[in-house]
Amino acid sequence: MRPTPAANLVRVAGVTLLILWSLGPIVMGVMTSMSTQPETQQVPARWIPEDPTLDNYRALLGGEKISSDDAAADSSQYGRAIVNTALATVVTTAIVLAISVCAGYGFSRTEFKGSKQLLWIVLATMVIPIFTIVVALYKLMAELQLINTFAGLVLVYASSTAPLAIWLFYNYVRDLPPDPEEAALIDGCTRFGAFRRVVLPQMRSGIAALTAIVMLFVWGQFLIPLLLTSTEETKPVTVIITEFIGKYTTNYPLLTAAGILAVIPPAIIALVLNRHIRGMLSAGG
Amino acid sequence: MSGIQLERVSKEFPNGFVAVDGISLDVADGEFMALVGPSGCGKTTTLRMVAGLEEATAGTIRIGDRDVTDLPPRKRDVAMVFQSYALYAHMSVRGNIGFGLKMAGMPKAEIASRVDEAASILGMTELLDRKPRELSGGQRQRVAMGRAIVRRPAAFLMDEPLSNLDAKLRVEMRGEITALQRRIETPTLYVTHDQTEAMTMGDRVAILRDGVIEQLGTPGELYESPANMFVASFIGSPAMNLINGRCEMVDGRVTIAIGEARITIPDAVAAAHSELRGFAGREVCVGIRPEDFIDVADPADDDAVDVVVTRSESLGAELFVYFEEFAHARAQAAGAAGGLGNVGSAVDDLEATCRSTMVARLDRDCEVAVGERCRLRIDPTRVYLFDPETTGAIR
Repeated sequence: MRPTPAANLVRVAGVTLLILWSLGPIVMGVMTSMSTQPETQQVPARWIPEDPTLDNYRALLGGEKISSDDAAADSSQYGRAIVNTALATVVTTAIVLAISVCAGYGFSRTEFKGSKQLLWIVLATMVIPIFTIVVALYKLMAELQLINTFAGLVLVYASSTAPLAIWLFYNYVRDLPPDPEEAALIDGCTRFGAFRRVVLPQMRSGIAALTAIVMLFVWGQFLIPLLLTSTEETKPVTVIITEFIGKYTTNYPLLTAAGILAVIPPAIIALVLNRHIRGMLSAGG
Repeated sequence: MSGIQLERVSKEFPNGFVAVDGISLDVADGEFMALVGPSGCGKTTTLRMVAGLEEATAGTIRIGDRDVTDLPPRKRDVAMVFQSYALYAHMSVRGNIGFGLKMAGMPKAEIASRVDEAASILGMTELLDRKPRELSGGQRQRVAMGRAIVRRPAAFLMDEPLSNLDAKLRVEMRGEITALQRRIETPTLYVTHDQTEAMTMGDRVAILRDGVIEQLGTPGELYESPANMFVASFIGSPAMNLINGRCEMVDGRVTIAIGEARITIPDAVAAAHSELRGFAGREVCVGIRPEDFIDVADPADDDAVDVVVTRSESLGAELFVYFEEFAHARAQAAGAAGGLGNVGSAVDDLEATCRSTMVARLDRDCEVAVGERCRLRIDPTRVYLFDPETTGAIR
């Protein structure tokens, strides 16, 4: 049935509203990032800068030192924070993929004594909110001397992301036809050989989706690194940005430029792998 | 000794369900054996046990001279064609066909030569560089066949390989597969739910039900001498009509009464069925194949019965006429079967069979009209008789 003109109008209006709602803050952020500090403090507010400038971006990417007088961090620390975030994201994603692809495949294709219970235990950890375990987590990491270490951060990221990833892969593999894998077993492969040569290539789309999901999740982590990192060598971009806020003054153009730059990598990931993410999230349905 | 041998092979799943119950089967070298039966009868499980994809819980499986019961699939030297073709989507046709050879560590040059040879046999040389997604259903089926034959295995296993094809292509591929199998003379176990496929392709056919072989024989044997009512109703299209009747002795001759109708069994036929006289005065189940009805115009023919045509289907060369004149007798047969607690699901099958409309296959020139009467005679030499208590054929 073709929608009526009125229904079309409502739909277009709804979608427009949704786009404005989603993109509005980003547009405002871009405008602010290209403004000067005095412009951001004008009353009434000035939305479009009179003389747009990219100085803040240059400072952030070029290592120049700009900051609020009373802020804990300055723009020169931004590059290192981006590298820290990217490194933690890539390493965590690699670890989570390795674990979840194998575990998801194992849980969905093989049955061993206690396998269902084990899966439930893994999945149950997903429902525990991170703020309920922060104190215990901090104590444990301190005990293991993993505070302010890259390894500690990755360990916590991986353990908090892996259950969701395992569950997604479990559903994804259940939807894959087992026949090619069985054909490979008959064609001379061991089970691992069939997994490596036939199942893994079949999973390409799922791996791409999971890569995106885990990367987006890790890139945006704030509470865990806030708790576990306090040195420039380990702080990620999410923590550094908050430190651009001074006690009494804040350089808003610098702050928003830092935010906009930080959004670009996950936005690219989401755009490129969008199709795979949708497929992954609807698997098992 | 070569071929495939199954000795009292069983499969019981962890939940206690017995899918295959002590099957013994011997597929000779070069033989094409079809396993046929309704859904859930255990045919695919049997095939998967031979392939090593399912573990047999009892019995012995031999392929060639080797006991392979406990060997993994890769060590059984079998090739399998799956219902879904199970092609490797990320590989080209060449990669798919040569995969098994690569796994066997064969030199590249020999793999290429064998793949080319298989592609040439199957007429798909020009498709070798394509990916499976770029092929039609029939072409994919050929690739799956190519992957199987290129390895020159000790046995072929095929799991409903034609069921995803359209009717025309299925008939075409049926011929191609049998011709190919005859050419390479590799013992083949072929699973299908389609009795036409089994009958037209198999040198011998094993009919399974509830994990047990009901009958094993050549297509002709199964059609002419079904061991029981299940086989009788399963083989043939349309299925055999099964009606409740009564065996009587009239003037020393065996006569079968079906409602008002009487069929006098020729002495030679009665003599060939030594058990038949023992059924005198007892209920029997009468099987009549649709083609064994004869349309008779003569109203004085005492051996003929009048039926009211409820539906007719012309297929051009033949005419199928449906009628329910024997409904009363059929209901009785269903009731008799209902009392047979010891024959398991045969009861359900029998009831389902007996409650369907009867059908006769007549000459295309017959003039019949829906709602009108038609006079039919049953060929007395072609009547099948079954014991309603055991459902077995009366020999």
